[in-house]
Order: sequence, then C-alpha cells, then structure tokens
Amino acid sequence: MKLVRPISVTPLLLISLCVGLFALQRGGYGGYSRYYTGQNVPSEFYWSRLQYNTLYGGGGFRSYGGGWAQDYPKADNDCLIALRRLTRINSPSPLNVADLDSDHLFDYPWIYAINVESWTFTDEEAKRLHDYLLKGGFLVVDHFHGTQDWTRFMAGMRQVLPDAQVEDLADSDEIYHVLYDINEKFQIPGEQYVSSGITYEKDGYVPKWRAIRDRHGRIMVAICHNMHLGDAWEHADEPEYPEKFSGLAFRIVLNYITYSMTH
Amino acid sequence: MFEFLFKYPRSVYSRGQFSLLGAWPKWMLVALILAAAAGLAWLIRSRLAEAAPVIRGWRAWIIWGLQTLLAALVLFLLWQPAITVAELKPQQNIIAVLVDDSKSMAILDDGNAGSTRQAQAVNALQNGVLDNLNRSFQTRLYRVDDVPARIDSLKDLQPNKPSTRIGDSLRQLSEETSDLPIGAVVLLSDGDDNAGGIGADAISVLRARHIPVHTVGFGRERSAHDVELDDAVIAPRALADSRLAAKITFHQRGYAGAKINLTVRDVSSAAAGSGSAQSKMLASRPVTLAADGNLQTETLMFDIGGASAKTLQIAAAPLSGEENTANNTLTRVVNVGSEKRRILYMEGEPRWEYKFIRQAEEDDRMVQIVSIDRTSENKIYVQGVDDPKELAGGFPSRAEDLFAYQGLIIGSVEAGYFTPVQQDLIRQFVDRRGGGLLLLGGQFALADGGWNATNLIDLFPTTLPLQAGTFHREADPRNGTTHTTAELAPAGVDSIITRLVDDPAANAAKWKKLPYLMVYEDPGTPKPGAAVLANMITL
Repeated sequence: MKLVRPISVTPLLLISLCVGLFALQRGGYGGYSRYYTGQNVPSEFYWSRLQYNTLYGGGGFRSYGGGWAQDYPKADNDCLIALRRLTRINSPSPLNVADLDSDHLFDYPWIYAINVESWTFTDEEAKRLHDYLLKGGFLVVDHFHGTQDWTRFMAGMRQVLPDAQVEDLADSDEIYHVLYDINEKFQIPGEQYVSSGITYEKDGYVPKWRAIRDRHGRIMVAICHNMHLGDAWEHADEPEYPEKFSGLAFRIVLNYITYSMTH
Repeated sequence: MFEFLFKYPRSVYSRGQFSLLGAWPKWMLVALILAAAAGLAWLIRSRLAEAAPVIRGWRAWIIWGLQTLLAALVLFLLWQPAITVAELKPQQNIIAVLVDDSKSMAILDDGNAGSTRQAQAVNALQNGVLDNLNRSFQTRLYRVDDVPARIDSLKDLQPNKPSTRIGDSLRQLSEETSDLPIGAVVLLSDGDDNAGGIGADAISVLRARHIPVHTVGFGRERSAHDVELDDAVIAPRALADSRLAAKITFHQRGYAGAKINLTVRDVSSAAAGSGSAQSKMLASRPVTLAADGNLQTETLMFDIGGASAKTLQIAAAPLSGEENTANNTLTRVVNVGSEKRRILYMEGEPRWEYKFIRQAEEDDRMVQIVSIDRTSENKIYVQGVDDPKELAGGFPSRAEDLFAYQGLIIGSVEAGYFTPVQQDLIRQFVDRRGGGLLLLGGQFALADGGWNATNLIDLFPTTLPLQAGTFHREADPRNGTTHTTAELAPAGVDSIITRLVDDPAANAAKWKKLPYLMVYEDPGTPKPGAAVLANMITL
C-alpha cells in the first residue's frame, strides 16, 4: 500500500508540470479562454479582432480558441503602438475583440479577421455583418492561402454578401495613398519564412491584394490573400524576420485604418 | 346749447388753435394783469381798516380775487382772443377719394342682397357723396391696392388685386401730390390690409401736410366663420432638390377644434400659362384649429424640386359655411438655383464623424464637401477636390481661395493650427463674404482647442467656457452609470435643421430615442440672440 501511492501520484504530477510549462510558454491563458474587450478605456479607434465560429480545421469553438485568435495579442498590440506613434488617431484603448452575436459590433467601424478560410456564420451573424458593412463598416481579412482557402473564404463571404464582386486593387488605388504612398507591394510571408526562406504557403504563390466595394465605390472588405500580415506585425521585433516585410505590413494596415476613417 | 352759448360747435374748439389777435405783445397783457392784481390788493388793504369787521379776513381775499378776475377778463378781451380753425377753401382744395380695389372688396356680405363691398362703396359715391363734394371742392378719384392709381371714372374699378397696402398707398399719394392743394382724403375700404397696418412714416407724412383722412368702412369687422392665412414664411432662395419648410401663420373664428388641410402647391406651370392647368402638390397636412382668434403656426416640409423660379401657393382648404374663402391662400416666389454649393471641411484628426459626414452627403448632387484631414502631425489628406492642385498647401491662406466656398466646417482643430492670416481670413469669410461657419466639438475644438484666446470668438454664437476639459469621451455609453444625450429645445422643435422626420410629434419622439452620446463637448453659454436648437442632458 505504501509503495502504490507514490507511483499513482507521480504521473499526475508530471502531467500537471507539463501543462504548467506549456501554459507558461503561451503567456498564461494565451488569450483563448479569456480575451480583452477594450471598452473600459474611452477611445476614438478600437483595434477590434473579429471572433467567429470555425467550420474547417483551425480547431476549437470561438470561445475557447480557433483560427480567429492566431497572433493575438502581440500582433494587434504592435499595430496599436504603430498607430499611436505615426498618426493622430486617438486610440488609447487596449485590444478589443468584437463578437458577431452582439450589436456592439456596430460600435467598432473597423474590424480585423484572420484565418478566414475557416469561418462560417449563422443567418443572424451573416445579416449582422452584412448590415455592418453596408452602414460604413470596414473589414480586413488576412492569412489564408491558396485555392482551397479562397473557395472556403468566399463561401463564408457569400453568406454575408451574396452579390459581392471581388476586384484586384491596383497600386494606384486611393487606399494605398491615403497616409503612405505605397507604390510597390510584395508578398508578406508568415514567420515560417525565417526557417524555410519561402514566402508562400500552400499554392498561394502570388499575393492578392483584393477588395469588395459598396455601390459608391467605397472599399468595405479589404482582402489580403496569400500573405500573413499578422505574423509580420507580431515578429517585427525579431532580428531574424526581415524588416522589409514588417515595414510594408505596418504601412498597409495604417493606410487601411486611415482609409476606413476617411471613406 | 353749447353752440348757442359759444357760437361754434364743440368740435371747432377741440380742433382749433387758440390765439390772441391784438397788436400789443402778450407779455404786456400778463404784466397789466399782475399790475391790476397788485393795485387792487393795495387798494383793499388800504381800506381794510375802515371796512366792517365781517369783511376783514378771508372775505377780503375773495373780494380781491373776484375784482382781479374781472380786471383780467377785461384786459384779455382787449387783446382779441380767437380760435384758428383750418377750413377748406371751396373750389381751391382738392379732395382725394380713394377706393379699395383689392380682391377682398369683391366679397359678398350677408344682408346686402348680393352686393359686393366695392359695389356698396360705388353706390354710396354715386348716390350723392361725390356730387356733394364736387359742389364745394375739386375731387380726384384713385383706386388703391398695393399702390394708388388715379382713375377717371368709378367704372375703372375692378376688385381683383391680390393685396392691399393702405399705409404705403397713403404715403405715396401724399408724396405724388406734394405740389397739389390736397385738403383731405376720403378712403373707402374694408380694412383688410396685407402690410399689417399703417406705419408711423405714412402718418407722419400726412400730419406734416395737415391732411385729414376720413375713412368709410365696408364689410364686417369680424366674420363669424372664417379661416384666414396671415403669413407664410418660405426661404426666397433654395438649392435644387433641397427640402424646405413653409411656416404658416393663421387664425380662425367659429371652427375651434375642427380639422383643416394645409397645402403647399407649385403653381409655376399654371402661372406661366404653359397650357397646363395642373399645379403640383408639394405638401399636405391636416391640422387641428386652435381657439377662436388665436394665432396658430404650423410648419410644412416639402421637396422643392428642380432649378427654376417657382411660384408656391399656400392654402387652407375652405370649410363648410366659411364666409370668406378669398383669404385662404397666399403665394410666395422661391428662386431655386442649380449651382452646386461647395463646403470646405477642415478636420484636425481622423475620426468617425469625418467619415460619416462625408458619407451622408455622398448622394447629394447639390452639395460638394471638400475636406482636409490632418492624418498625422505633418500630413494632411485632401478629398473631394476637382483639381489635384486645389488645397495642395493645406488650409487656404488667400481670400480668393477660401471665398470660393460657400460654407466652412471646422472640426477638432486647435486654434493654434491656423496662422494669424488664416484666422483673419476665417473672420472675413463670415463678415465680408457672408459664408456660413459650422464648428464641431472635439478633443481639440472650442475651449479645449484654445479658441478663447482668438478674436474669432466674436463669431461664435456662444460664450465658451473659460477652462479646458470640456470635451468628454465615454467608453461604453450604454452600460455606463450615467447616460448623456441630446434633447430638443423649443426652437429646435420647429427648426428644419433638427427635423429628422416631417411630423413634429414623430420628430420629437425620434429624438428621444437617439442612442446615447459617446463623445460630447460643452459649447458654453448662448449669447443674446442665439437660438438654442438642442440641449445636452445627462440621465
């Protein structure tokens, strides 16, 4: 009896130690089971990440992880630092997560969504996002690669905007000159570039800068296909990750935010 | 009895001017009266000792007073007192006979067997009045509506003119006949005047020439059942496709509590004789009539349509039994322009108001918003320009550049951002160019933007708070402990600026349901003469 007790407790202790170490590496909760809503700090602009249900891969339901939370919170935080430093946009608020289940969504005219090849909507969510965009809201989607991801993304997009026309954005488009003049764009890879040296993922060889406009020509959905801006922001301070990718990613997102606040 | 005793009737003494015709100066009369009084006083006093005891004391004073009065009366009569009365000289003075020729004189009044007011006036003149006047004086006939016009015969009268301005007509008559010996004016009218009365200038002109006006009234002073439109205020100029408000003032008798339909129609095509008799209905609304005699004001909103000069008819539908329907309509002219209005909007920071203001005006083809947004400390973003060179240097520094706009909006911009030259230009834009200025609140605006230290505060309709910290931003208005919102003030209830929907009651209800404010700023205390359209309230 005395010998059995140490043997049955040890595995439990080992498992607990591993979980603890894992959690420590992920920075505590890792932002999956607890996310921050920045409503307690009055702010003109809230960086708002869209939380959505995941249908394909990505893992997890929305409240406990899933593709929507990738790169969170460092990528979002680094963007806010750049925004405060380089523009006059009032944004003292910390990070914010916007939920499609609530009309609170309409309080945040700018939202960012990532891993959108895995998103899906209920009818109510699709209608809310549809109304949000047509009333002047602006959505940036990022980090989905290749043909299959595009198909899945558009399946979700068609739930929201059944008649949406997607167009490629030219370098001369207003959105690339509203704050910075961005005359040259290139593929922005994820952090995997550091080890692989490859800028693309899956069969997404060519970066696609695309958009969906409303009837007045205002861009309401900015699509960053075959690239990973989130990683570029998140790893901007890592010496192995090339600065040119982060630099372009920051300029792109600041232009997108300024465009959304002027159009 | 008065005339028997005093030879002339009482009216002569009331109208006449008293004078003394004697050759000696008036001061001599006063001096002699005083001398007589003094002399009599000395005489009585010197004989008082010899008088009976009962005469001494107050009776002596009475005797003195009576003797003094007698002496004064005799002296007064020596100076030949007289009354001067102005009297027309037969066949030398001219009597101007004015007959009201407006539409209201065509009204048939009860009890006159189908005879209009003007017909009654003409009958009275033809049945002896004119003949009697002509025996002693020369007469001139005039018809009167907006202006007096001489006529040769009463047959020239046609009661079809749209309005009457009695005061203006009398004044003009007096000025036009300044070289004629007009002795009096006889005015035959029903008194329905569109100018709101006879002004002091008309009266003073007549008084200066000593011309009396004898009035003869026709019709009833007040109808038992009548609705009358008193005034309709509509902006005389408008942009094409804009929305206007007609502020209609009216009163009624005999229909308190009844419903009446107010309408605004475009009668331009019919008025131009284009062949189309159809007028276009622009607005129609039933209203409930207030108490008898009370002035009531209602506002009707309508879309003015395309560019052109338009004639609008404002009308109250006739009610059953109404005695006079001629006063149920008014017409107004509105000049609708097609020139696009350009508004310059200067914003000091990217914020959502900027985006949604631009978005709201996107579909308005008559208004072009040209905007400058300060996106970073050293960058501006210009939108809405026709020429890429326009505003390339930022906010204009030359009058010809700024004056090209009709309106100026200044958002969350601190006063120090503008140079002294630009600040002076803004003042000239309002004072000299006549442009409109709209100031928005914001974290760099009004008191928080240092505008108190500029001389532009003279342009502001409020006195700004002296301290900063007037701007507030709420993190979560819905779930906070207090809620701030806007409430319509009395002036805002009637104003077209704050009208979200046409019906006033529905508009007031809609304002009450607006979301709570996330950002707001204290604009200060309204200056005298400023109209407050809405107030900020904290619930």
